[in-house]
Amino acid sequence: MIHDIERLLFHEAHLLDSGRYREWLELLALNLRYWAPVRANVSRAQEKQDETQRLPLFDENKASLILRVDRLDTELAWTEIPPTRTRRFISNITADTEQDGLVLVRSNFMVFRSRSFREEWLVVGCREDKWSTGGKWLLRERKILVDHCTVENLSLFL
Amino acid sequence: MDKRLVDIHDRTVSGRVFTDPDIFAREQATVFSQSWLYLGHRSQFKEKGDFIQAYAGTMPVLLCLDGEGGFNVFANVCSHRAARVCQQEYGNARKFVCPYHNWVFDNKGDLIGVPRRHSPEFDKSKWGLCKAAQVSVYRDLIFCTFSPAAAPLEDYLGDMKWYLDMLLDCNGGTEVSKGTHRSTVHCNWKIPAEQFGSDNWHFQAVHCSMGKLGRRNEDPNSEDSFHVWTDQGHILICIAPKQEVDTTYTLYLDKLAAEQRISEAQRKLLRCTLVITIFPNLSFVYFPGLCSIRVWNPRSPDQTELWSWALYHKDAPEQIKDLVRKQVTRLFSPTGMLEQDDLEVWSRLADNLKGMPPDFRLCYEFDADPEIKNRPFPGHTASLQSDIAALAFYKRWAEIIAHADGTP
Ligand code: FES
Ligand SMILES: [Fe+2]
Repeated sequence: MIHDIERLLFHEAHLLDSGRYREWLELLALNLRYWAPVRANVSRAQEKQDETQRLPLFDENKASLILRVDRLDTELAWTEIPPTRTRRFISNITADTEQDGLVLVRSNFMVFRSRSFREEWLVVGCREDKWSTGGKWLLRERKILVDHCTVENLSLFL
Repeated sequence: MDKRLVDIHDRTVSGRVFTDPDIFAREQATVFSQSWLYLGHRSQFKEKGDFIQAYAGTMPVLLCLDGEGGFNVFANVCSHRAARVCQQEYGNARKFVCPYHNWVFDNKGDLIGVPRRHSPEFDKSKWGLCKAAQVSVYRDLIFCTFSPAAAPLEDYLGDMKWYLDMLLDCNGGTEVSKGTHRSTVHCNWKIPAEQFGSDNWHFQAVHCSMGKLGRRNEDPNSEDSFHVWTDQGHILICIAPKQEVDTTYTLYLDKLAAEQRISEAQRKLLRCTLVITIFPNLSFVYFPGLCSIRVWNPRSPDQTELWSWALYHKDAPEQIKDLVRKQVTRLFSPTGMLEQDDLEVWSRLADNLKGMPPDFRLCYEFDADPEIKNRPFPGHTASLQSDIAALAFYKRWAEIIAHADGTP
């Protein structure tokens, strides 16, 4: 299974790096929860404890992600004209079967971003996904933990 | 010829205002040491001893609720060798032990313990942390100033109170979200501070992708669309909606009106988009279903750290609070579909300014429809089709930095 998961995540990374967002949306389940808590500069225990109450960086469902893609497709979305060059590296993948046919997938990511002539930034973090499998893999839940307390303009999907 | 930094006559502003390190240092010594600066919201404090970190201009500070229920503000900078006294972003503490040599301070900023033996002449009372001269709360918003001579906060907010009250006092007060959106903005702090209270124009241009998706409902030509500016340099944009569409949030406002918890005038303006800058660096952006409160923390001439929170009525149903948090995250956060475009434009223009000769000046000449100047609202009103509000911000800024202590 880990092989399939690996292939899935690499495929997803490829779609995102190539700006094939419509195809990426097809990997998302209708009842998707996609969120990224902000980090807090406190003890680990405290940070974990407050996590769900803190204002997130992403708090999305499928409809709101479609809206984000629609915005990019207007070709008027300033931030992405010309588009940011991204290259993502997905690693440390683990997979555990949960109940109800869901697979819990953990992975680390490192995304290199280059914009305009020389604006460069590295976004690093990890993800906890729940993928459902019923013939076709669909992302049901994704929690993204970026390892930055202060971030840059985050006009990308992680 | 060395023209003035801000020329009210010519209606131009020098590009150096946004790039020059000497000007940046001078405004720390003047604008940020004399003005009232927003640090935090009362809802961030639940118990005695609660504290948060904040910035007063470039100075890292702690804002603490002491045992008597008073708010204290002091530099988070040790008076011994300048170590960062407290590392946690928020928490609860009766005292702070500096990690470097373990000097101990209470939550009023006084030095209460020094672990080494010292001479009898050593006077602990002389070595407290650098304290704000005044701390004051306006409708749950906590401000400080380092100027003992500063006028009271309410006078400072002046005519802008009327508009703030609409956001802050129409249903039993407000609270801010837990957790802070923090992002690096690659431009001078004044660029966003100015834009927030005075630049309606950019909505149609830089945010046109959202317009095309039918996500904007604004009529800049309406009778209820106008700018406000005050002599204190506070500025505001109010834009009436193009159509009165009912949403979960407007129905909530109607309900508050029916319960007489807000006035008819408030209900009407709360259907508008309001974008406000309280001089120097506190801003709000509001429209029905979204409210963000934010501080543009200056870091260097070309770098600003934006800290922002969702703001909502304390007594609002959980569903309404959740709506506001979601909208803030999706539109005005580092991933926000509106914020992203602004961040991008600002960073490019800041980069451009560094490449321009020192006599390069920016244009603030627009002043269409001067007859709009006298609207029945507090403060000076002006047409949205004008740079009057933006210029008022710089006029105030120039007045303050001109009176720098010891500098011409
Ligand atoms: S720097 Fe704080 S105790 Fe020495
Ligand atoms: Fe904007």
